[in-house]
Amino acid sequence: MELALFQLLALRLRGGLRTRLQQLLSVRGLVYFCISCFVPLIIWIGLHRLSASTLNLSIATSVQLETFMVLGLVAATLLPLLTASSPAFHYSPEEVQFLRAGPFSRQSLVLYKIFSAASGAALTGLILASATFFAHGRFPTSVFFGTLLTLLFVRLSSATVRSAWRLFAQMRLFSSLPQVSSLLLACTLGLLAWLLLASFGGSLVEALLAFCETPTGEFLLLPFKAFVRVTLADRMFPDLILWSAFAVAINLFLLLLLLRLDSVIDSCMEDEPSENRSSELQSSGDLLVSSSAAVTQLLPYRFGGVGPIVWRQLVRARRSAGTALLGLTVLAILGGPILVQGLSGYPALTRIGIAVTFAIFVLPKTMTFDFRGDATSLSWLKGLPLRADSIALGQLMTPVILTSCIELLFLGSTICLLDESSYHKLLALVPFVLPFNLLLYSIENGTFLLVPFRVMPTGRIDFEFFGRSVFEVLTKMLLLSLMIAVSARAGRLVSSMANESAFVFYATTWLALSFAAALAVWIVALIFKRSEHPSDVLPQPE
Amino acid sequence: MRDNYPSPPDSGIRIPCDSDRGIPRILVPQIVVEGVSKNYGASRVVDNLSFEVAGGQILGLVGQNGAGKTTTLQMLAGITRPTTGSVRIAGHDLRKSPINAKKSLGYIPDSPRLFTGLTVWEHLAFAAATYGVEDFRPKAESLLAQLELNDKRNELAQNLSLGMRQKVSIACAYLHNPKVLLFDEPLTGLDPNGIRILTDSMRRLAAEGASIIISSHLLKVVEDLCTDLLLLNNGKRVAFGRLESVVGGCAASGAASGLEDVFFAITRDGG
Repeated sequence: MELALFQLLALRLRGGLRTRLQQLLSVRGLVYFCISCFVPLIIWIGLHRLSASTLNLSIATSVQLETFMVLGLVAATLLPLLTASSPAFHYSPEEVQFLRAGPFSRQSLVLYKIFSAASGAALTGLILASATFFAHGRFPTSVFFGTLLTLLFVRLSSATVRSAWRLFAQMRLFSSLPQVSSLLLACTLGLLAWLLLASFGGSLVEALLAFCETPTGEFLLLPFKAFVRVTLADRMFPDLILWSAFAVAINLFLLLLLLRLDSVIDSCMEDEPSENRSSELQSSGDLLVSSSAAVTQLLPYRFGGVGPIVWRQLVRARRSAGTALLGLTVLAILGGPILVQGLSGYPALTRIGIAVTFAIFVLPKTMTFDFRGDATSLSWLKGLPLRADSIALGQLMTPVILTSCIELLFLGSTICLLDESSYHKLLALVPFVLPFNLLLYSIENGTFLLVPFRVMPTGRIDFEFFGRSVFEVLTKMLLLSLMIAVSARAGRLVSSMANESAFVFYATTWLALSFAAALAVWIVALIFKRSEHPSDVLPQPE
Repeated sequence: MRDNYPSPPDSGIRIPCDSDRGIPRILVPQIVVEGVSKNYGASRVVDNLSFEVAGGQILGLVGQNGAGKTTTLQMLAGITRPTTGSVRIAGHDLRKSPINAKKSLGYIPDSPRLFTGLTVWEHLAFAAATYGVEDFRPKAESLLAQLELNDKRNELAQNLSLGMRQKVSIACAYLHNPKVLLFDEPLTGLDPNGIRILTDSMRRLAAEGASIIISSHLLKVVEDLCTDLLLLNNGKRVAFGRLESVVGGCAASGAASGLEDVFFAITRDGG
């Protein structure tokens, strides 16, 4: 790799640190820094005390921790197979301008991207090592090297998978069906799950844990275990040094394989007169892309200006996140069996917690087809000859509808597997899905419009981003809890006047929640109307 | 008309000339494009394009939106690979010897993007390291002075206006005295003073032997600045040659009297 690229890495690292320090000089930056440091610490101390004394839960043993870390790493390694048609490396516009047009070999640019990932991983390792040292008194060196080598392994394996896919595409393998790798992966995973359940019995997690302890499981998971053993090592010799050497060897092998694949791809492109096949494969990763004619049929319905806004966001969702939506739909359908049968050994509270986390945190971060996804178009939206409340409602409708559909699918797949005594309770939740999501997305968008901010962090230690995220989570949880409590209280109050009728309770709670959601939309419209955020002052991602 | 411009400050870029008239010694083609095509999926964006640009020439690349101008420039800069055909930059085949070809190249894209967190001076330091410019400081100082960036040297890239970013991009591209310069809509975001500084520097560099391609929709600027013209329509070459002869040829046939008329006449006819 050329010296200039090392210089660029050093300059970018220094620039990132300088930007962070400059952020600290502003009041907003300082507040976010305090939030990002202290709030997680307070929550962690609180949970630690609760789990140790009040809840009387045992802290995970090293063996359990190792098993779950190994399985997590396997999942992180398999995940890129779902997006195998993406390029192995993403080059930002400034990298295209300075590096792709610069006198650098293809190999040097690959190495630059790997070193760039390594420097980011080293920073993450440093943070984690400090945190675990202060929290648990763990051996910080092993946490640092473990994090560095593990993150690098994940990056290298995903780049290798994507390069291999590109090579297959150029060799016209899988040419008839670009999504074949995803389907193959899904089928393989399904078959493996069935085999595990058939061989070991119990829940899926129990069967998986039992398999990990067999000689075959031990052998197959050995490469992944190496990285976990480095992280959990509590002695320099032999644990840390020997496992690190093994992990470094795996990473080196992957790096050499990646460079080889990249050079083959490069020479293939010389022999291959056209990149058509590859371009088609690269661009057609979206299963849900449909013809524009089918979409424009929705246009005539104006609904006071809400219609065109919803139409625009729907089209955007279909074209930009078709595969993600399909994945979420599949996950929602599988969600019921996973929670009811796969995790049957776990307490109901844990399983409900997983479902709630998915609904409140995962889905809203994926469905950004609203004001959050229009950070640079707010001025344009304000210039439209439409009422602010029509725009606000139109902007919120798409993610609300899509989220509600996914959640209803999940509820449906769960209800089917429950016994008669339990499914009534879940069935009663169905009418609440829509008003709840409208409230949830109104809070998300209201917070965004009040304090617009980048959706993604600009680096490894973007405390402004983390501070704001913590602030956002706290605000969301506080407002949601308050609104649900008030609605339920109203329901309880009215039902007490109607001989404790369950129907009256649910109906009144639904009405109160719907009213709260409508009020929240009106507030979002008001904030949107009064906000002044020229697009060029919005913080841009790095 | 070109002589009306005042001489710009010394750019520090010197290529030996045969005489005081500024005729460069290098007259061999620095850019040779042969049968280049580019496909994106089923659509052909550039279709069998061939042309040459010699040292001292400024080629105006003109065409409607979507004519293939940016794709052509990106192929010449080595950012995008041609589907077929070959490109030679300063005698080096861009596919077989990309590093040597790119060492002779300066590319300024239509929307300049700089590294967030890096200052103006750090961008120049990186560009110098990239192209192996020894003792870059005097040249960098001179470029900063010419482009009126002296007081911005320690400013972070994200705090600069569009015009300022464009100037930094130009300074980085000029630093290694490239033999070939590719400008994609270079006047976007520049103030009148910046436009004059840039156009003057282009003339100076061409006079010193550089081959320049400039893509622009501003036909008056192309008419004033360029020595040669390449008109694209739907990815195909529809007119190429000395500016005077292309415009003169159309004028003789009664179709046009200036570049703007030529442009409308040719693009309306579909080439």
